[in-house]
Amino acid sequence: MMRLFLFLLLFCSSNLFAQDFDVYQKKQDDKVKLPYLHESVQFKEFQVLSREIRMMDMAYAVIVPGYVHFKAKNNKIGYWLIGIRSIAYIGLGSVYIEDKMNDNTYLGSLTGTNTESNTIQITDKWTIESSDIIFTTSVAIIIGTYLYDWIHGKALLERKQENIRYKYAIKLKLERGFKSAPNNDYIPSFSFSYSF
Amino acid sequence: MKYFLSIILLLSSIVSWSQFCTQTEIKYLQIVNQQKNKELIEGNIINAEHRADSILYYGKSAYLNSLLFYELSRSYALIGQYDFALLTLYKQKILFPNDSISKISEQLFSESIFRNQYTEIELDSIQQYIASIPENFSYNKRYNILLKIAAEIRSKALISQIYNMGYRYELLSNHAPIWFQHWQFLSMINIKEKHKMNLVNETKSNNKPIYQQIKNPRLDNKVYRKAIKYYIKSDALRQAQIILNEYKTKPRSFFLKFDSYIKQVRINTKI
Repeated sequence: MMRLFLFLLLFCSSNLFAQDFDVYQKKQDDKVKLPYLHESVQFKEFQVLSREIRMMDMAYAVIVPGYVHFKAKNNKIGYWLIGIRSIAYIGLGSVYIEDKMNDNTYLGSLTGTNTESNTIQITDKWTIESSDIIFTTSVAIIIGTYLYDWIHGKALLERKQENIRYKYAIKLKLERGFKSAPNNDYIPSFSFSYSF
Repeated sequence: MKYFLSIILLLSSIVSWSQFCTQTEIKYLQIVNQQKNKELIEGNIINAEHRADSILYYGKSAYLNSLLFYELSRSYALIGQYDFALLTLYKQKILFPNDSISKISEQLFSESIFRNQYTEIELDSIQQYIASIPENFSYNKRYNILLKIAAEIRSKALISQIYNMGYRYELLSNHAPIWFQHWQFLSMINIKEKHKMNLVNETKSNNKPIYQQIKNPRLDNKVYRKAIKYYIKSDALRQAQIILNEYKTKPRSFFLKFDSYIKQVRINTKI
């Protein structure tokens, strides 16, 4: 029984094509398949068309700020996101160092025995510590930059891909209509077509 | 029969994937210009420029070529690059003149002229100058006029385009004009646009380097220093030393003498 189970496991594992922790399986090797391109397509456009934002990219974007925007070839926003998230990390770091200097602990924050930093009076009954403000703002910025990077970056990439597809779809259609254009650089040749 | 069919199929495949023709580019430019979609226009500019470059090289005068340059200039104007729009209109008016295109492009031409810091009087003189070009002028002569008038736009963004145009002119006529060689040198050492053409227009058409012909002492110092700095940066140390030796013979202030000393030290440490 055990041997049968092991045999089935080995047999099934050879048929799995997972290349990524993706929902959709890919049953072909993209590295071998060569694209058929019009010579007017620039390399930048080809790069933009070949790219997709997948789950792995979302995971990378957690670690590398602006990853999705860099992938969508918008480096300016990518660098801005690096800068903003770095400031948020500095904020988190400062809160951590302050707690360390005051010998504060996580348990102490739960039981209320930690040394308080500068407090701000909101109402008579509500006070907030400045370290809490810095901490929550930093976390909000990190989450906000991640969501912005992912959602806006994906939308940006899709928009660029649409623009490129629109351009070449129209041009190829127009090209077929202008077969006897006087100013083209076609090499004279012979064509043959037969339709059923 | 089998071999005959395969030869026919092979020959027909050769024609299918060359560059898009002029009519296609014109039609697409008209479509995107009408929509005024900046992203589409910016994405297409490089394709249209590539087509326009090949027309410039082959130089056949036709209505379609004029129309391509007009539509391209409209695209540039829509994305706010009026210096490129003006250059493209100059190319159309000088190299591919067409009365009907000139009429429809009049307003765009005036707007581009004003946006490039010309006045109304200068606009009139430019238009008269272009209209006075004889019809029987050869393509090379027209190209020479275009090169001069393009350099007078004085836009830093156009430097690489004008460089390319000059390169093409050298291929057409085997030599670049002396003034253009001076312009190239001043662009290479990064002299500001506002001084460049003034310096070029001051100099005589001879083979002497431009830094030996400048009358204004302040600009003279500037050109010498920038030339030496450029050659040091490019590791052309012998040329830098030759120019520095020449520069040392000129009267200079204490600061400029100190600057020359620093440059000499840089050359010595690099050798």
